[in-house]
Amino acid sequence: MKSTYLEAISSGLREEMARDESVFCLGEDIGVYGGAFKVTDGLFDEFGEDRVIDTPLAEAAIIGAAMGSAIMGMRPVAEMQFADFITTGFNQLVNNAAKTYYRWGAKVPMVIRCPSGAIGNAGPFHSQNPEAWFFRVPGLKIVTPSTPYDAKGLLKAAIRDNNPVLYFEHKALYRDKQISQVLPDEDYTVPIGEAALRREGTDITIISYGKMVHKSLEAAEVLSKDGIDVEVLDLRSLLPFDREMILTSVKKTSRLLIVHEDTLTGGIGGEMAAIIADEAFEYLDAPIKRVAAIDTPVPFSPPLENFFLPNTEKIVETLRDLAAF
Amino acid sequence: MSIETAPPATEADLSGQDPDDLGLSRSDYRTLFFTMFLQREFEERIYRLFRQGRLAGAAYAGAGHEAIAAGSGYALSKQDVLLPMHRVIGTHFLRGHTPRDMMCQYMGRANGPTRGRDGNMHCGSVDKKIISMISHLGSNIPVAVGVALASKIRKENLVALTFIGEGGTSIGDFHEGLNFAAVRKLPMVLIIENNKFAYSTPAALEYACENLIDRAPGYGIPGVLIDGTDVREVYKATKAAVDRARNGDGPTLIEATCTRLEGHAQHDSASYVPKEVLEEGWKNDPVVKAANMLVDDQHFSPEEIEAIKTEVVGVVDDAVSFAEKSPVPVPEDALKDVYAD
Amino acid sequence: MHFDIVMPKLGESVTEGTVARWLKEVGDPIARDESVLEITTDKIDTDVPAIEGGILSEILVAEGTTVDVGERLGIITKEGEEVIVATGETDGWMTDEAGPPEKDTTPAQVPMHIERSSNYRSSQGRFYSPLVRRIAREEHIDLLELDTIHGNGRNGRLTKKDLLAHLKQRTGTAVSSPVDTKPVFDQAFPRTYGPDDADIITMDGIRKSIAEHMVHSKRISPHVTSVSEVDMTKIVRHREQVKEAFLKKEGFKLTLTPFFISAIVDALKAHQIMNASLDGDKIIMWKHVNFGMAVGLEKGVIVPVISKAEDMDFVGLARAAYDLAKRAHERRLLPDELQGGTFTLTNPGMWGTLFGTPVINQPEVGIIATGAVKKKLEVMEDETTAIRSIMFMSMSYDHRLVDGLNAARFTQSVTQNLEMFDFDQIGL
Repeated sequence: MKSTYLEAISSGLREEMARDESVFCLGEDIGVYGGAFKVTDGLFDEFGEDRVIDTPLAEAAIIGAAMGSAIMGMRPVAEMQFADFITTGFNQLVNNAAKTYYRWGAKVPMVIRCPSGAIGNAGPFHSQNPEAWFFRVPGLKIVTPSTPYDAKGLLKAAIRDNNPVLYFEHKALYRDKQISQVLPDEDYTVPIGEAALRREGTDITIISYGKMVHKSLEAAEVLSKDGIDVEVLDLRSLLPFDREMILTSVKKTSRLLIVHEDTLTGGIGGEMAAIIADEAFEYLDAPIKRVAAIDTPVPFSPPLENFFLPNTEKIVETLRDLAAF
Repeated sequence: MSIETAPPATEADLSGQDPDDLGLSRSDYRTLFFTMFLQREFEERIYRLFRQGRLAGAAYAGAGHEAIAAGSGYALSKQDVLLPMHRVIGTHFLRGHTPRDMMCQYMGRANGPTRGRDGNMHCGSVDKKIISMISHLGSNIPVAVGVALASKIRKENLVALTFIGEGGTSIGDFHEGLNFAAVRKLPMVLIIENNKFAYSTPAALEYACENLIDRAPGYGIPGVLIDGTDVREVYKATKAAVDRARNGDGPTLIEATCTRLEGHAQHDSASYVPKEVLEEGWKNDPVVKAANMLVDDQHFSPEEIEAIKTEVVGVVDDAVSFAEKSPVPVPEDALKDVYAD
Repeated sequence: MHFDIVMPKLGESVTEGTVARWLKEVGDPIARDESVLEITTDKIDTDVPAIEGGILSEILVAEGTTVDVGERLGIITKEGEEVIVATGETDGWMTDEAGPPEKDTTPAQVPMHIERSSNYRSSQGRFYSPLVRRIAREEHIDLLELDTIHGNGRNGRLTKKDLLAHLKQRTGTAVSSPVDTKPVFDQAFPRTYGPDDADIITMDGIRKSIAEHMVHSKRISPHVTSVSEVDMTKIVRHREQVKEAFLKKEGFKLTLTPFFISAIVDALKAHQIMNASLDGDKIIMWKHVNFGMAVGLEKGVIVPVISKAEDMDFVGLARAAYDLAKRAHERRLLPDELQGGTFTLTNPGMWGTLFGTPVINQPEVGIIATGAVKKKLEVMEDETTAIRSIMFMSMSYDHRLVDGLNAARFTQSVTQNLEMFDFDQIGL
């Protein structure tokens, strides 16, 4: 039986709650209603109102309370109904939770689940990929699974991690049948900080994460017909990220394209490019390129949104450019 | 009392004397006064060290808040959790942070509670159950809510005590946190230290209601207005709120009035505070009031009071010389412990 | 024992303070923590208490003076044993009597910096990517050789693929003898010197490029230089006659250069061995004449190339030469215009030189240096004498490929082309 990305997250959460009674959920509409996307559906009935908590509409209170309960030894999994809403709890996350262990040694084992990404016509406040805001906060970890297997494994790893972890689940992947997978019965985790090689190649490396991994694979297929062999690396974790695997791949192909659905300026692609330009300079045969969303809020109307978003065609075009340099 | 340790939180000490109407004995009163005078003397010393060029950064004295600190901190039991703010260092002393610890903290020493990673009152301790504050005042309230939430889920019977200034009640976290605690009837006590000024902003520019506890019914919780310069009143109100929380009846909002006797920080002359307010405040100096109460009502002699004061001065002297001899952090240590294993 | 009184830092943004009033005079006794002076700052006016008791032995800063935080204001002297105190030298508040705790003394891994003394920006101007440079360095391919490899990337860029393909084909390396492998800049200098003896200037990239190129060329090609005499009288006279009309018609000045180029290009068509290169033991007979003209700039000589010169007529060559020279001086040449040459002309005659021994511009096999045109008394064929404009033409050639016979025939062609120039080509 194949699991969808959403089912993988649900089952991961359920298994962890059954395994460890210090794990509990809190968020808006997650309990009785089962969550805006139904990720937490059924958990309320199974684990009770003490462990699946419907909070008031108050992200600062949700994140702050997650932090307080985590310091006391629980393992909260807080949900932001949309990743876009995390900003109303921003201070609790970046100044309070993230800096606590560094400052006075108290562990804060909490997870914040953030449904992120564009799903079509959802507008500026229900479509964002805000990982870059947190990428530069020492003390936080960030994971971005792109497959059901990784969604479940990374959620478990995040819950078991003793640091605040931001878990970005891409909304457009929730029910995507094309990426459904049969998942192992036994307990497994995916280590935080390890990338995965999705497609081996020799001519160009693509680094990507989240939904864009799949677009990158599509583009790689197109290029293969031209005899250009593209390697696709799925980062899976953004903080920490797999420096070793990236460098190894770039050293092999000498040409690098970074693809992310987040906007271009200040997106994490820039940081990766800087690191590679520094540490793999003598392996580069072409400039480092990025394909990302344009530097605007996410527009609502389809022609605008389509222009805004990166897609397979844009990736193909940039790959061709890169191949011809 | 050994010079290295501050008096730890105790249940009412029944030896020696019958406990009074508040369940406090002579020994408890001694501890309360010791703690109050220690807060005063310690922070005066901190300010003096600044003026001597022996400290840097900032310090925010709690002169005028000593009764709030000692009275509320003393109402906690060992299993409870403290989330203090910056003007109640007395609560730190009651929970086991020694004057040596706090002086090393101010001096950024490697053996201080934060090993030099943060300064002044931004410190905490996992085993002493003190959760560190941060500069964003009010952010401690949702964290206290989380502590209380964990207690409720695990049926642990512990209470979270936290504080906020009257200025801090304006921030969103105050509302979000208090509301969440009220809705879920969480075991939390929130004490508003109303000292009439938020830095230079007077209370009249901070809130429009008569008293801040007027908001309590809005949250569906009890509000209690007390004289924050009377250590017995503070102890009584806090104990009642803590008991109520422990009983499962939810949070209480306490408003404790006092006067900020110094400026906002060591660099602030507080010239904006009207002279009469300051004069009235000094007339109601909680430390002096406590000493008088001990002599008048608790059968302490003036000599005993003096002896306590002398002891406190000795303790602070010791803390200063200990901290100045303590090692500074190794620079490369700045890279460590960003993440827990 | 002395203790400093310092200006305290009383606020995060406070950087200085003013001494308002000394409460004690020099010689007065002071008790510990007693106020010694009053200060004013941006944020607060306050007093400074003494760290230790003693005598105020010195006042260093007068009333009304503003000083930086940390500055010493005065000194208290105390008799007796050592006491811990902050001094004004360190950042006062963080004195560390005990010293930091035991440090981990294992030395950190210091990254090795590898010197890259070769400049891989070709004097021809072609860009080489970091990857290509690294491979070249590791395979002992110097700049000269890189310049010769055809690039399939954008704008003729040399890609990794191109370089790796070239490496596969290479038979024998360019560094065949021990002498050849010695780097250009690593020779021992035979005397000591210092700034008193000379001004020492570091070579820039272009200079280094040229240096490497010249050494390399001399190493690879056995140079022979032959000199011929050319009677330039007809050309000189004709040019005088038409130069104004030419300028009017074409918009630029007619120099002797296009005559040289035209003559040499025609000779190259007839003697193709002079328009070739050697790749190991393979003779590369280039299909086109890509004519390089050496241009002397302050920074060094560069050689822009007229591509497919064999297809151009006289005026076209003249225009191309003028344009390239102009842009060379303006440093506006394109990378394509600095590579792919098959023969080179240099004209030291412009500055009065009679003849010389030019260095071959690799990977070509011949180079001509035209000397100054001088009026001389010549004995003509019919044994009369006449005043003629005579020019020496020196040609260096690579004796691996070109023998004296071919060389002579070639220069004879050039000479004839010049002496019997068909002035109809000019179109005036």
